[in-house]
Amino acid sequence: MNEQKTLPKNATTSASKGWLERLGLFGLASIEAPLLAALVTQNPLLLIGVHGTAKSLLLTRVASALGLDFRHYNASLLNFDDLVGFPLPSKDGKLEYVGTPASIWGAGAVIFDEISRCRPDIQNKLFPIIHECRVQGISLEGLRYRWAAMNPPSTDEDENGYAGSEPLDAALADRFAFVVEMPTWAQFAPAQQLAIIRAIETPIQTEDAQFLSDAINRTRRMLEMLQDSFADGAASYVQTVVALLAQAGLVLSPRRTNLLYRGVLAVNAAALAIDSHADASEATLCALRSGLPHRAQGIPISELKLLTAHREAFKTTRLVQDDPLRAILCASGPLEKFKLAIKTTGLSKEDFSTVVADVLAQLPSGEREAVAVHLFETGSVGRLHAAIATQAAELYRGVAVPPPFQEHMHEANLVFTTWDRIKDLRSQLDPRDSRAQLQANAIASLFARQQLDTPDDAERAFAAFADADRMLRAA
Amino acid sequence: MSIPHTLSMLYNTSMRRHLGAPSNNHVNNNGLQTVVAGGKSVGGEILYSGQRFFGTPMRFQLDEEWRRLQPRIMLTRLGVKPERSPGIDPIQQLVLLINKRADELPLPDGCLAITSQQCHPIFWSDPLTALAILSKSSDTLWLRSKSPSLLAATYYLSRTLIVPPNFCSYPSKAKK
Repeated sequence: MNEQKTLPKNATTSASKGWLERLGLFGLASIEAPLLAALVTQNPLLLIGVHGTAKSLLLTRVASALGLDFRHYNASLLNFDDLVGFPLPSKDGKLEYVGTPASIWGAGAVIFDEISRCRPDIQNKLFPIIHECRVQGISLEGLRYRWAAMNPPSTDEDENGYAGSEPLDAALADRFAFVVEMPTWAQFAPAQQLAIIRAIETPIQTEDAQFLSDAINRTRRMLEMLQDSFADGAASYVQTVVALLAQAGLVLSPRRTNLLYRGVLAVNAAALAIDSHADASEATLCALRSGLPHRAQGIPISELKLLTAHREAFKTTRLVQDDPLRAILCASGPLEKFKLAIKTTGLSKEDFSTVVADVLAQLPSGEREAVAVHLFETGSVGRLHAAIATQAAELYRGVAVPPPFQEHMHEANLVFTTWDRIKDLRSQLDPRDSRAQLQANAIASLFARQQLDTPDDAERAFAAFADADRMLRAA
Repeated sequence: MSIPHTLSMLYNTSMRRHLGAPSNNHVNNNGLQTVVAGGKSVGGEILYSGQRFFGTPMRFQLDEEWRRLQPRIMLTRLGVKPERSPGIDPIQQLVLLINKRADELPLPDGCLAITSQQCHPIFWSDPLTALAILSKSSDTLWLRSKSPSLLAATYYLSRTLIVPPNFCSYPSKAKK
């Protein structure tokens, strides 16, 4: 629908045009840095976008601008013979491939279009090409760039996916260091939309190709500098963000952590090469966005979780190696995080408040109340900003001061059944145990606040409070 | 035939979720103590009494007349002579005194604050201590590090802190 064509050279003359716009590709400034990073690192790049978002055009224009001998395959129609040519026995009895103009031998760049639509056996054969520049075990000398493009895969969760565009195999998706999502029509500014509407295809001008080469060279120099100055920060960022994403249900492979680290450095270098005032946090977020393989696998990524993880992790780039906040952010779960934060008395009020606010937001019913109790019992509530302390106090009030309530209802009502289950649970408690008093109050408070809808909810919260309370007191 | 419906709340108005449900049973809660100490269940209704707080309630209170006092007079009531030097007004002088007293109090740095009742014991009866609590309190919380608000102090006049058991050995030693 919005397949781009290149705009006539005289249509825009601004000297501040980005390298993609110079190649006749509009509205793509947001992905210039990761694409430039992919060109500099020569790591595999996958573009994901709805039809007509200039994925193929972009890759072919870039290959042309760099003067690369490239092959553009439609993976959905590809046969292996198309890639390697025809096998013939040589004079010495070995098998040689007779190439065709379309075969992969001698190519500097390959583009596998529609990679999500190709047969699994072909996908398996593309795997070593993308991963290690080899085919049938033979090294592809001269192959520097491996690029692919696909539509968003169809999944049960995502109704916007394409029928026929299958999620990539996790191992194949993990080989793409850069997984870049193409901007859509709605994301373009009005002027960019008009530029796309009026675009016609023109040859790439020498100066525009040179502009791209210069940008690549600048990025290389920046990358060398950042590998000295930002290596620790980037490593710390990746370590923390990987832990936080895992807590949010997005698990990354060990290989991906390395790809992400190199991506963070390269995208920051590219961002600085494009704009010397580029914001490091923005560039790092961009690297994170384009460094996650999940979208290729049809796994949705929550923007909120991504931003939260990034924000927390980016703080660690400024921390010294043994800063306790780093360990807290990397802790395996919210309760672990809370325990560490409580123990770390040197934590600033702001950091402690942030950690506790995150913990309270992440914990399930029962554990949240146990955390509130612990904050007050240890006096740690005094280390919090008033807003977060008040949030904890609201929870603690229900536990420390039993909430009397009274209600009449039909006994067939699920709420009454839930209350009946709560009575059973409370009857198991020892009244001489002060912790039992808290546990009973916690469950009653949750019920009163309508946070227990079923007897199962009540059982879970009841056990969760007891377990968390025990764990926190032991700590 | 219509089924009679009643809903009564002693405390938590958010429990009014079943207004449309026919009712013939009682859900009520008044604490663990009597439930497990042999409280009777009659038609789904459980009645208890017993321990109401986890920790020790401590009441802090100012007399009603403090609502009308000017900061200068408050200082005098506290036995402090208002400073005459320029740049220091009575409010600043009070704030310094309140913060100093709050720092001395053998309480945790934060405490749950609730509405006072006559049955809540008073451990410190002096007005400066009451100011140190009331001026740093909200509806649910007292925070030692909070900036004092004379407006809050004179608005509340009385608050009760629930001091957790871990800290409850302090007050008897410090009682004035």
